Amino acid sequence: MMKSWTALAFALAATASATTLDFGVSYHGGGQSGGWGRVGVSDVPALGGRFSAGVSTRTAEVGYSRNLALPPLGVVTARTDAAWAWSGGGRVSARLGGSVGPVALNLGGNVFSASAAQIDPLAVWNSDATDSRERGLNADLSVRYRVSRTLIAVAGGEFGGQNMGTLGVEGRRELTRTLPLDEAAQPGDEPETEPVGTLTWRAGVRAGQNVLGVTGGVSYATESGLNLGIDALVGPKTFSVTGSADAGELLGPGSSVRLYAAYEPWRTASTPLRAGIAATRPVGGGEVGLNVSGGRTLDGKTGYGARLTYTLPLGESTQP
Amino acid sequence: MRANTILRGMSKPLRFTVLAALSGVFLIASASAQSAQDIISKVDAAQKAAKDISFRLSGSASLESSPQKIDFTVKSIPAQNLARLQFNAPDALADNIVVADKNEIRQYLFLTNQVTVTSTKKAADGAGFGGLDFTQLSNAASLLSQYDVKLLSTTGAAGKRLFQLEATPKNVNTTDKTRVYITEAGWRPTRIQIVSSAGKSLADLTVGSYKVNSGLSVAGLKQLPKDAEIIRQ
Repeated sequence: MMKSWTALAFALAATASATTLDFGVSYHGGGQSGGWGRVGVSDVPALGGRFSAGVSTRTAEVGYSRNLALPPLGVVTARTDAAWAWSGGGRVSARLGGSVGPVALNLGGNVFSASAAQIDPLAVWNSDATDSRERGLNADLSVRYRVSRTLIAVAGGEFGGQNMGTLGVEGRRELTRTLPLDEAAQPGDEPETEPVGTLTWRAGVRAGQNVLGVTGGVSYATESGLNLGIDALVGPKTFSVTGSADAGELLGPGSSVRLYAAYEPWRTASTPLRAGIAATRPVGGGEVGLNVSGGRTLDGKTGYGARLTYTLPLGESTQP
Repeated sequence: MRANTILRGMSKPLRFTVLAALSGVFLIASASAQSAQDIISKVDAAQKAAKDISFRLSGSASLESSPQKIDFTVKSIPAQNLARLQFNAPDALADNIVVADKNEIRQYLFLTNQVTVTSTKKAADGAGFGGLDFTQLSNAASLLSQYDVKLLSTTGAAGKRLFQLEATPKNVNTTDKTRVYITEAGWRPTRIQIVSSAGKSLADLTVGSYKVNSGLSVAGLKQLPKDAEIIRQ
């Protein structure tokens, strides 16, 4: 099966310059342990969008996305994915995003009869909380509105697994240093500045089933790609904290390293304790990725996993 | 051709400003009026001699009757067909960045921290751009072949003269005119105006902080926030 799939991938690649081949092997331990492998193609241009497809020892997957950029105003993105687990059950998801000028909207939905872990055991330890139920449906929504240059109002909700809503504001501040005026400067010219970093802050509330609290967070990002962030929720009955660190191009040009940890004991439909490290590095014509993550479920089960991937763009690359 | 399309309808303001920016730097090539031709070739030569050019366009544009503040910087390396536009105003677009080169157009959206990537060819096919062809950025001749350019006035003392040129789109039923002020000191544009047939100012943008050969690098012009989500079209 995999062999024929690879052959198909190469056939597709011959006609599509943007196509990427993906390979991956993973292992997970704690509770049910095991290893699996995956091969797939992504970014296959067809029907005005991009297709992706993959086969692993656990699943078969297919996805389609279509984007429309409207420089300098915004973008509309749409994607839909379906996965079928060999062990029975499947998942279908759709996501629609759009931003025009000061408004951005993001809508997503999932219908599933196979758990996220059945498709990808590492998914439940992702940085973003993943609905870990066996079957059901869920939806999420977020709206961002730019009130002024420095202030963004944010509203959102998660429904299905654990219903809740969020409301807040977000501000961003460019940290700059002023460059000395050069000789060619005209009278009245404003002095040039050079960005050195960005400070982002967040404040809001989260309310819903089993959760009520005020939220706050701050991030600091530098021009070199270093990005540190921490967020907390404090409520009458609960407390949670999430943090992440992006180290930028620590492993050389084009590489990335990201560390994250989340402790959210109020999550009833997702893994409340999650942590991981993800790194990528260009190798050969492609990119190697390593992901090690783990966590502890609501019922106290600890698990961990590791994934090694290689993505290889075929033909002429449009990578930066 | 575009001025007409550009000034009517919702998303047009920005196309218009982009066009204005282009006019500012790259315009100036195919004048039919003999008197304007000398000025245009001088500006053209000055720009071709430049390794890099940067300037700031600021002013206002009337969009559906309400004037709006517009402010952005343009940085360009002409030999590489590379240009970078960074918005300061209006607020809704501030901190958005557009980087265009021969192959692709990258757009950074501040609100959602996303970078969109579109091939320049696709953009030229017009999908989603409603007329503005970003490839024109590096194809001044074709952009300007669509205009009649004449010299309106000359003021100031020799060596520091200020020329006012007026461009009218050819073969399009619009009467909007683009006026570009060129200073003899450095042969560069200082102001761009778009005026309706009734004489109403639709846009008035001043060119400031004009610099040539300030040592801009290709990598610097292409730099966008690294943590942004990449969206390919």
